[in-house]
Amino acid sequence: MGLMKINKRGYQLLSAYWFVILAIIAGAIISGALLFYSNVADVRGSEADILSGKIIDCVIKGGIVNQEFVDGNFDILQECKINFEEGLPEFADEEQYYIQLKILNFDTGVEIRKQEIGRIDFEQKCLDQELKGKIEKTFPQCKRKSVYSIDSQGSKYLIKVLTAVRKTEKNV
Amino acid sequence: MLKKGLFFKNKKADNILVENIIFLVLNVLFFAILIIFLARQGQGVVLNEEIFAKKIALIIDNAKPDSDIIIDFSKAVEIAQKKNFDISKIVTITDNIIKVQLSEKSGYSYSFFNSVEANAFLLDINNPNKLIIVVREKEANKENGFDENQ
Repeated sequence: MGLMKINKRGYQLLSAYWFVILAIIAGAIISGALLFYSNVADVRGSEADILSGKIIDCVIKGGIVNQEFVDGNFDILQECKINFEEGLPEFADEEQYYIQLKILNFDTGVEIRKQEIGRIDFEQKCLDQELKGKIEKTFPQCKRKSVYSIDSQGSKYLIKVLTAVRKTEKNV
Repeated sequence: MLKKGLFFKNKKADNILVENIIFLVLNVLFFAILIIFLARQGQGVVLNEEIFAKKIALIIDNAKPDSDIIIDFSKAVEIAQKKNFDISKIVTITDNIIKVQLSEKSGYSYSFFNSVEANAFLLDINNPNKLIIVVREKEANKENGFDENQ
């Protein structure tokens, strides 16, 4: 009789423990599923890539660099037809993009001009990720491109573009 | 004298059986809910709205003015039809924001950075598997004389 009572209490305790285990397993499976599907829908890397390509196509035409850009009279947003105004409420409070455009003398490596638009603090976040060799989901996603070009007089330049896209609320 | 139970005359045996049945039913219910949730995640309205909105945004970002791009839209149309949602209203573009809606109570918006006029509509309403995205230069850019070939 006493043995039956102890077994019944043990049995009830095990049942409660079983459901705790199930809840932990369910949590792990649901987290995995959500993590997988959120990864599928993170397009910031692609956006940064397209943005950097668009800028290079705009600054260099037929292999010749835009002279206004070399001279420093170049409005990137207007000339390259880029619109950084955010209509979405999630992004309204802060800038979501960053562009850095550098032109260097190809022979000496000396920087001739540097232009930056958007969130200047993104540059450091891009560097941090590159140094760690790891993409941080909560950081902006970055893309670097370098292109060789000449001007109309045949002077050689190296154009370096860095673009970064934040939009964390819609991608992470 | 043993009291009569639900299944057995032995009340204690009966209790054990009932407890086990309830335990098994709860387990089956739990796993069924989990499996249904996972299945819906993959086929869900919300996920497909997000995917299509972002896909269209990337297409517009990458497009040059005077481009017409046709994409396969059958999956979105299929979901919208199952949800009895008007397929002509699936995609709306306002300024630089795309909204994809596959049911009355949902919708996903995403923005693009290309400074163009963009529109999207079904290529053929009777065979609505293709979406055409029309990208044109903005009127303001035309007035200011901006030229792609400058």
